[in-house]
Amino acid sequence: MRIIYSGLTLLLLITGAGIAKAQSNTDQGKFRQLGVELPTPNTYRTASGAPGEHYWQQRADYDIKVEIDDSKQRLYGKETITYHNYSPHPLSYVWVQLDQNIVHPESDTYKTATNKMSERTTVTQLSMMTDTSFDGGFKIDYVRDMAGKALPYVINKTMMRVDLPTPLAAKTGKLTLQIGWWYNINDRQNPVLSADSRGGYEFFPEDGNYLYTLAQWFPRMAVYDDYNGWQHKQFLGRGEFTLPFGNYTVAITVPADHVVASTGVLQNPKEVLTTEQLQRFEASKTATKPVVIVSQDEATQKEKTRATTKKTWVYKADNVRDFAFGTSRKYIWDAMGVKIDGAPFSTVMAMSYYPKEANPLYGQYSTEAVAHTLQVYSKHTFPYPYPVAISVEASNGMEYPMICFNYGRPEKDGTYSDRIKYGMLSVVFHEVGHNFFPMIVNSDERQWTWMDEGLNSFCQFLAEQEWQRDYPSGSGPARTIVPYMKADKSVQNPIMTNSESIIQFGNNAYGKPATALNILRETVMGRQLFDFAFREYARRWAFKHPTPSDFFRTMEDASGMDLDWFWRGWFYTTDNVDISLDNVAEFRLDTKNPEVEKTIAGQKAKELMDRDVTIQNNKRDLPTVAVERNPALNDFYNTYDPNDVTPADVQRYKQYLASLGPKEQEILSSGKHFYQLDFSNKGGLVMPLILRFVFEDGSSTDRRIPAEIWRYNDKEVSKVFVFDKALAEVILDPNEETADVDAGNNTFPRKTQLSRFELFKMEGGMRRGGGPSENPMQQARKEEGKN
Amino acid sequence: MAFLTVALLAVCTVVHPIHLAITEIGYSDKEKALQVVHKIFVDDLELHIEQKAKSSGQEIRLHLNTPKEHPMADALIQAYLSEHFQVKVNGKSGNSIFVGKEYENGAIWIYSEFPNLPRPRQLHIQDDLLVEMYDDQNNLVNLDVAGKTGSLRFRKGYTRDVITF
Repeated sequence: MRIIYSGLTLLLLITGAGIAKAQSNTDQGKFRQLGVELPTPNTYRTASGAPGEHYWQQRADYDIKVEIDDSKQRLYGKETITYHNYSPHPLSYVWVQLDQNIVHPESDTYKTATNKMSERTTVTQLSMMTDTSFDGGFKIDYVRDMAGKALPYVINKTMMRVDLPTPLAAKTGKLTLQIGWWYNINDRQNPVLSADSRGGYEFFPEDGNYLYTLAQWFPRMAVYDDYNGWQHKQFLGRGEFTLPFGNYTVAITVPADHVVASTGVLQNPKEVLTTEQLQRFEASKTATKPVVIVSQDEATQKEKTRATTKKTWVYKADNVRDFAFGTSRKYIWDAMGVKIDGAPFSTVMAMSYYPKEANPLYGQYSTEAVAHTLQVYSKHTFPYPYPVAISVEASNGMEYPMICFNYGRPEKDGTYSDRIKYGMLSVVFHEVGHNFFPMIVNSDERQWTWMDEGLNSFCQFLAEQEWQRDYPSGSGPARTIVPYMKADKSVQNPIMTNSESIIQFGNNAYGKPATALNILRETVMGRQLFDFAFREYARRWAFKHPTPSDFFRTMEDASGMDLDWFWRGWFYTTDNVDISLDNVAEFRLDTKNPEVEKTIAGQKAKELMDRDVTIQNNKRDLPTVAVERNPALNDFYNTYDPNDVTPADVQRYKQYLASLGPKEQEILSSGKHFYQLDFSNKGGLVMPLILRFVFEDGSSTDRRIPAEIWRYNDKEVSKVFVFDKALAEVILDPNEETADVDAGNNTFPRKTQLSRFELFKMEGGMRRGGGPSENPMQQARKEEGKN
Repeated sequence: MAFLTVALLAVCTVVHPIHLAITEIGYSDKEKALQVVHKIFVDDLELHIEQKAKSSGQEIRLHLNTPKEHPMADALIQAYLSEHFQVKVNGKSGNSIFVGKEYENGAIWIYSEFPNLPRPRQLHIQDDLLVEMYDDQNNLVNLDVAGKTGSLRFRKGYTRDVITF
């Protein structure tokens, strides 16, 4: 290469405006390794992002008897917890989570809520300020050891410390705790109690029935781990949960006409189901579409009566981090067996429980959506390892192992808008998806919300796109994040900041991590590398407790890509993507052939003269000039045209050609076009450059340049591209893959960009947006009615 | 004003409901008007307008973006906006005109114009959209006016600000 270029020189033909600015040292180290930001690798969590050889985690098994009092809306419970201390430290006390205390009259949630009076204070707001009448929170009857002896305990709001008479031994210690409690179940629709509406009851005034969804309903062990010690940050309502894994046996006593939906597998179906229901349930195991086990008619009938006796449903669930259930006489129940490649259970039961108010939407879609989620997520992570996956309609959106509470009720006439339909599907995908993150890949939600929400939202997007090609996905596509990331840095918080007091509308709120992962998958890493690494992360940390560094490290370890620049930019800063294509300058090779070069030069000289105003005006106004009138004033230079080709020129050219090798001659005569593109980074985030070159003949070609092009200078970068054809236009990020917030500086030559407002007005705004748009279902019905 | 790419946002309200609204403010020298675009979740806007009506004794259901959309929907939306989003340009109060609305995946885009306003040297903004019902409502305002860009994040307890150009 060295030889070729020594013989050639370049002739500059500048077509664009301006010349690249001189570069200054602007290295902000965007490609520096995430060394100090991440915890030091150790024998619990390795540098490659895998659990280390000394990785440990605790375990808590539960044996619980619980009863729901349908007349008083109360829950009574007794549990025996077997807590295993596998840590290398002896423990002299343990912490137990008491999340119901968030609705205790003395709860900090009420105390720390801010409010002001105004002329427009609504009745609701007034009640929120004054009403502490609900007697919520755990009433602890006793805390005892295995022998029945009382253990000292201290309750700090939503956390309880149980002090042990002798410390629990390291590595082998086993503690048995017996706890008895009850609490008043909260009304989920009472805005005063909205701090934790994840569980509670919903009252249906029309039929006078209650629908219970019980969550955080038992005192549960807190996590003790290697990087946190005890995770006992108070439950304030927003930051969610993390818990140790264990085996559960739960006996649920409810009115005899209730149907229970629960984590785990029902152990005594013959005792609680009718013969008919048993038959249908058996049939559903091998069915290819959902089988109704309790129909809408049957449920509606039950709504009218009240059983006076009780039944106990016994469930077992192994290796779960939590337990939730729903119960109501209103439940319709359908089920379908699902086969998942490589799963430990040959048939996984996908089931849905919902009141009639959720039909026809739930009847048509819920169980199918559950099955679909299991298949898609299993493909991208690991085969679903549980025997059951349930979707319960409860006007909610919350996840537990093997069961989740969702929303999506149609209008009373059974129709629904597309908003409700896709909202319902999305919430089912999302909540069932949470089985994977964080129920199995058990990250700490209170500390790192994005680790489960971000990863789950990303997988949800994959599930949506595999359900329907034009699914209106909320987060995922890079362009959906643009309006938010456009906002100035000063009003945002990075994903990796953690504090309950900073209003984090960022992370899970607008799906920034989900979008970041999609960009990694589609644009930075490509699907093959990404999918493998993502699966590797999920498999390494299934049934364990990962931290952000384990995720970052695994993704690099398994793909061979250095992604620190990506994590740093997307997760640790509030920079956005705004890369500007500042200039495109064309360079043409000087062929050295006098026939070609002198002709071009001659044409240029003539063009200059033709444009010169004085010369043109003089041609018109002056019939003759001095040298034309008097031949004696002429000499050699009056007729000499430096652009004439002379024999000496030709001779020189022949000699020059002879001095070149064949490769050099080829380049010289190739007629290639050289374009230098100058980019500047205005948003802060460095990203790959995706370029579409559109040629004068209408054809186009795309090129992708990895982000490492910015490694020496992350403010400005230039690159030369060589083509056989002449360029007409260059577009940066033509497919909107990089979440670039300003498309206005992405094309060269620049195109005038209309604002959204101007566009709306131009397209006849009022006409377009003015009237109500048709809900296709009702319109279709109207049409049918006409015909 | 930079071209705004079309943004889709599904109503993905899991138990971390997204209480966020975005407002873009631009100024058109040609029209001598402030051009404002609000992007709000349909459910949130409906809730607030219906609640406000309830507290003055009326029962309204808006049914936005369905065939049953309330015939006075535009007026009701405009009334809500003019109460909860106000601007003063160079000390002069602006009055907004409802230009139109569009729906996209659970969000409503509302176009408002504040006509007959000079080029802003100083802009007072009051933004308390949706704050009555949601303590954690965040209202992002992205400005691209008089050559200056910037953002503000209004929320409960911080609903007014002034920008000087």
